[in-house]
Amino acid sequence: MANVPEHGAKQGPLAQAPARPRSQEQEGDERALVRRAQQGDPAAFEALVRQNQQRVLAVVSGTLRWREDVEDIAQQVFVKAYLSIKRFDMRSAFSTWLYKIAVNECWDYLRKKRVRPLLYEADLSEEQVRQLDAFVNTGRAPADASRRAELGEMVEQLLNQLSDEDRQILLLKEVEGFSVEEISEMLDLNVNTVKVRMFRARARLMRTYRQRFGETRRTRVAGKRGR
Amino acid sequence: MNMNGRNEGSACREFEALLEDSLAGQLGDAEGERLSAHLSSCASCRQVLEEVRLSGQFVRLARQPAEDPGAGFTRRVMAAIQDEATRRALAWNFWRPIEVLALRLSMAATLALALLCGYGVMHSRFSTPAEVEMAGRPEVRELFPEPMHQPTTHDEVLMSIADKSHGK
Repeated sequence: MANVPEHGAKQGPLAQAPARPRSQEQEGDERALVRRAQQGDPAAFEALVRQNQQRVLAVVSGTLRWREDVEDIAQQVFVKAYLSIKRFDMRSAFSTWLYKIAVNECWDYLRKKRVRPLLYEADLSEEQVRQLDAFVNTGRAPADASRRAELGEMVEQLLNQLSDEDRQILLLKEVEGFSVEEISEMLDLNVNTVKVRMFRARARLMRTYRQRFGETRRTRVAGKRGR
Repeated sequence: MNMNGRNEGSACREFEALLEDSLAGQLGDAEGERLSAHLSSCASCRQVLEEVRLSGQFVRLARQPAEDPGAGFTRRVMAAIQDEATRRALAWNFWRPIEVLALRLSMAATLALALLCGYGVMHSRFSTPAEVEMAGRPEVRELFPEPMHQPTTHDEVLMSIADKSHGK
């Protein structure tokens, strides 16, 4: 199977958030807490918030870009969950139910805000183009944190070229470490559909990169020859 | 789109899910062999797979995973829940007496309407023998004559025409 590469490089600054498999004991504890919260015990709900806040923040971060909004939306998710917890019927895990509320809250927020990101007009130094190329070709990120942040901003602009849904799927998987199964549950999509959309999003992202920065490079070369 | 079900520069549709599995290192033996066989004969899928190989790290250049926001966040959430519960309780206390009053008024109106309807039904027709006997008296019949008999046969029609023409 020489043609089938393994997904590597999960260590270092670009490491993916680890997926957290849940034990039966954890699920049992969670159910007991949910029952107590349904009976109006605020301490039980507080424990549920503590258990799930990082993952809810991860779902919201995977959908929204603006960091300052992420906590507000995550907070709103928990308030909504508290107000409707009596309607939660335990047919799914509590966390899955929370993630669905988080996804819906994010889409509501985006619909209200509806600011399309500005299209990126590349104006990169040759050094930046070279570094991005070096990263794509070798997988080695610059050691300097400020350089890495610059490249990150460029990639962010490329991510904005994807549809909201495709970007969300890719970020939830690659940055926040959710499994394909978890993503399919929270977005109400078939597992296979999530895989196909994720692969297409990757391909579109890299194609956009090649087109955009290939053009930038060609323009620079033509400019130099013209002088 | 070509015969393999893909756009130019894309992977074959049939293999996209398997290609995603291969990136995640989650291919079973049989699926891995099937994908390897396909890749050995499909340059386009090979190229796309090579291009996207670093896409995960590429994305992680832009974003960092969300960190646990800590106990401060939990406290803010519980305070927001408390605020929302208080707001709802205040709204409940304001509207509840008005709701109760509206409910009582609507029940009283329904009862009054039912009584009125009952009274109307009882007095809309003769129900006692005395009332029936009263209706049969000659002076009442004079005041409220029986409706005219309508002619039904040919002879009756001719007779009614003759009566009308003689001013009866």
